[in-house]
Amino acid sequence: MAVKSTIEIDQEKGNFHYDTQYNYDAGTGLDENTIRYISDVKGEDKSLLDFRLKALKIFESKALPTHWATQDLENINFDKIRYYLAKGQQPSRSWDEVPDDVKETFERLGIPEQERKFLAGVEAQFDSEAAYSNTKEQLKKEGVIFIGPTEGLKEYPEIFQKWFGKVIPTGDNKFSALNSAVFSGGSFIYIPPGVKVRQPLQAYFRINAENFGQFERTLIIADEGAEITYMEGCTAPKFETATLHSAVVELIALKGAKIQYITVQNWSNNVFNLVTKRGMAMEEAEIRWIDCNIGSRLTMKYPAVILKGAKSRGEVLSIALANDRQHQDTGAKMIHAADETTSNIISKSISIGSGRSSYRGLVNIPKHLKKCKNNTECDALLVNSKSRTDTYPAITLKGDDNSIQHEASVSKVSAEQIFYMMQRGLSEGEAMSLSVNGFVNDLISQFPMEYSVELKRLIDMEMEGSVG
Amino acid sequence: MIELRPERLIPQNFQNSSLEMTNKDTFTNHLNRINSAPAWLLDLKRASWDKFVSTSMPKHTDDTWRFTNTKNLNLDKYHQISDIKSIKKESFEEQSNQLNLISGKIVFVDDHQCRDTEFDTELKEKGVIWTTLEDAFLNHRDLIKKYVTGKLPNLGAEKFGSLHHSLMTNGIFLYIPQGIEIDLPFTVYNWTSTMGMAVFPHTIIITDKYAKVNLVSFFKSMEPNIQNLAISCSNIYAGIGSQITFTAIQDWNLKTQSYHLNTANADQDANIKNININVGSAYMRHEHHTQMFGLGSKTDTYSLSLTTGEQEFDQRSLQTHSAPNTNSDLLFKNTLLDSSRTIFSGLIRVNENAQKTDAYQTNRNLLLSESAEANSLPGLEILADDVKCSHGATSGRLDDNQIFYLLSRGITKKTAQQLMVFGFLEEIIDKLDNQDLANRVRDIIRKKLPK
Repeated sequence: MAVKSTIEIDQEKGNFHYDTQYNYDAGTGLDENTIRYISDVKGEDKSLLDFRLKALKIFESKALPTHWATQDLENINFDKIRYYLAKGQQPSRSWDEVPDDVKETFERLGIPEQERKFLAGVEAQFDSEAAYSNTKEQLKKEGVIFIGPTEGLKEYPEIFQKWFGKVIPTGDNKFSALNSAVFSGGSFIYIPPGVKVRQPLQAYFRINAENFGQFERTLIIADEGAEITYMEGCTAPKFETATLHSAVVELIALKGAKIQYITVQNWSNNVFNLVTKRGMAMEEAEIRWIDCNIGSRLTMKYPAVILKGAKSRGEVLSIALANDRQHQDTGAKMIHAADETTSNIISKSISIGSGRSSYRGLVNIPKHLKKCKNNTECDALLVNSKSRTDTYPAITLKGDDNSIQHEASVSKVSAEQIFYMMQRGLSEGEAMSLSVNGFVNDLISQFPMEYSVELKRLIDMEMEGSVG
Repeated sequence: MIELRPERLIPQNFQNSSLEMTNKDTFTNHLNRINSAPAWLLDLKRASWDKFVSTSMPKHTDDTWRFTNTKNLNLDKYHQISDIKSIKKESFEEQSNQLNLISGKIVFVDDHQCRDTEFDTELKEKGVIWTTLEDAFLNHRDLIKKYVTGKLPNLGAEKFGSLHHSLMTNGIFLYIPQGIEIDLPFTVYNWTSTMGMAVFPHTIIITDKYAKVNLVSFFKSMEPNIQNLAISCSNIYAGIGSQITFTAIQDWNLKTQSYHLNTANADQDANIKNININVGSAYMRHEHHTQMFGLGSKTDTYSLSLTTGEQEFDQRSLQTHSAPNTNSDLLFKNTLLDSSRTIFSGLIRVNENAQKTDAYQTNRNLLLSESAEANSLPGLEILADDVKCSHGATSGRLDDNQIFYLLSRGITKKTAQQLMVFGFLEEIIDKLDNQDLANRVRDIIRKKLPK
């Protein structure tokens, strides 16, 4: 039942939300009952409930990683967070069935319907459950599966269970354990052998409840020779108290498969965004993470690729923009585990006002491997004198037949460039914005068209008021 | 009156017993031996011992010990009892003569001065102080008090640093008064000669305004098979507009566990150049903290390492810029053979007020065997916006094309590889700016490379 309400539109982007009536609500705080409740509502079998309960124990036993990460993590009040909310709906099959208020939310986000029609399949997550889910007939014929993880387990247990939790074990870190305990929503995608999905699969996520943590779980399997691009983008309305977002994304690229995973993260400035993303690339497979972080209060995200098969390739392209009171703690991990594997990391960060951006990287070429290569570049741009940037890479290389190179640089916006542009009639803000866009341009040009346009717009908006 | 003569340092009743470093008696006995030392020094030693006792041994999960095989670290087998009386002077005399043209020389064996201080009398008359710490505690009490402060780089090895300060007995003190420029290097030789001996060489270099000085420190073992613990600390203070060059040749034998904990502090417009040649030790921890607290100061830190066998070199550096217009450069080059390991962890920290900073940090690792392992943690923490900072790290192998080029000209593979290694390391040797010393370093490298 959709509820029409007065739209509280603020001029600030994303700063609006509707009163939404939630049919299911697990309340605040986290204990065994919360888990049992979630599992019950979702109609899960006992094995999954046990999986969740075990994860809860691991979550509780692990300390916050504040010995290397920021102390800000201590400000997360796990007892005040809602761990599950849903409208109790089955994912809609057609656009007409999508409730009007949900449609309005997307309207406000500026996702045109045409674009969605253009895209292969849209799964838009409204809070915990998928509100809209439609995979094109063509893809269905080819045997592509694009559903939620709960359905994935019910309908395709033999594929799902083989890989679920295998790339990122529950105990990998505190937040992957939390996700394993309370996950709901997200995507399960399977691309059969040899199928090349031409258009990107896309999912929009939104948080729309105060103190509501969103814990989606995504599992993408590209079978031998398959190819897929998955896009995930998010904006969230502003709330007064901190919100937690903690997703787990697992990718499996079997022999010769290619997966490209694109994220544009623009949560509001009170969201803790603590995400674990990891892919496993088998023989001659390729996994590429394109990661763009603009929003949130604190983001900790280090997309990883385990290069398990010979000649596999991993890549992380990342852009982070940290504005006032934001900390973008991002990076990449490349674990080489087979001969002739190659990896590439390019990271660009921009710190504005009192923003802080950190790069944390891990490159590991451990045993007696041959002909492995890694290239890492991280560049940081500082816009104001209060801005801060850190770089903390860790590189291990064994053997005399591999090579690694890492380069990082930090610089400020060139005064000459700004002067030149202002002389030609641009305001200081416009000049600054253009200069920052120029700094990330070569990375953004690698993004699909609709994302690069959106991204440039987002950077322009973030740069508003950053000077003077 | 302080009496720190070698014979006094050998307590008769402990002559043949081995003491564990962690044993409380070790410190009590040490205090008894130096009971005539100034009260402030005894206080510093007591505080350091308390810190040593209360600090736990490093674990590999500690952030400052990432990648280190911490299980190999131990303090249990060592003592401070030298059998120095049985040492023949000839055994080290010849080898304590690496450079011909020098301004002064001091030789220590097991932390005891074993021959008279050599010192250019002209410089002495100008007010230059070149002496042992033992002597400085006696004859330069006020000056030395300002500079023996227990200062450490604080990059993780505080337990070992505290042990150094609590048990340290000797070292060198070099002070250059205002406006005195000295080109010929001062040299100090630190030898170990007794099985199980723990040594704590201490180095203090102070330059007053516009002074200039150069010190070369050799760390060597008299026998290839004695096991020693060496915890060396150096603190350098460069006054306004002064220049200090400090070179450390770490050539302990391959059984030694060594810690070289250094700080370099640069005042306004001062220049500090620090060059480290590291070839010896089973395990070496090298910590280096350069701090530019004066406007326009500049520091350059260079390191050359050649590791073989099971050697592990653990290098941690911090470049702190706490004043505007400061400049720092760092280049660490490691060549790894066999199953050796290196760890380079560097951080450039630019504080809020340190605008117009230029800071660079580079680590290059050359791996020559399939089981060698190089770890690199080059870090940046930038809190000011008007800066130019960069770091780079590369790890790799010899270039096949270059080897091929040499082979095609009739050069054997072994020679070609040697040439290439020298080519790789020459960049650091070149910084020594002293042909004599450069040749000594080349000798050391040639000796260590596989024949």
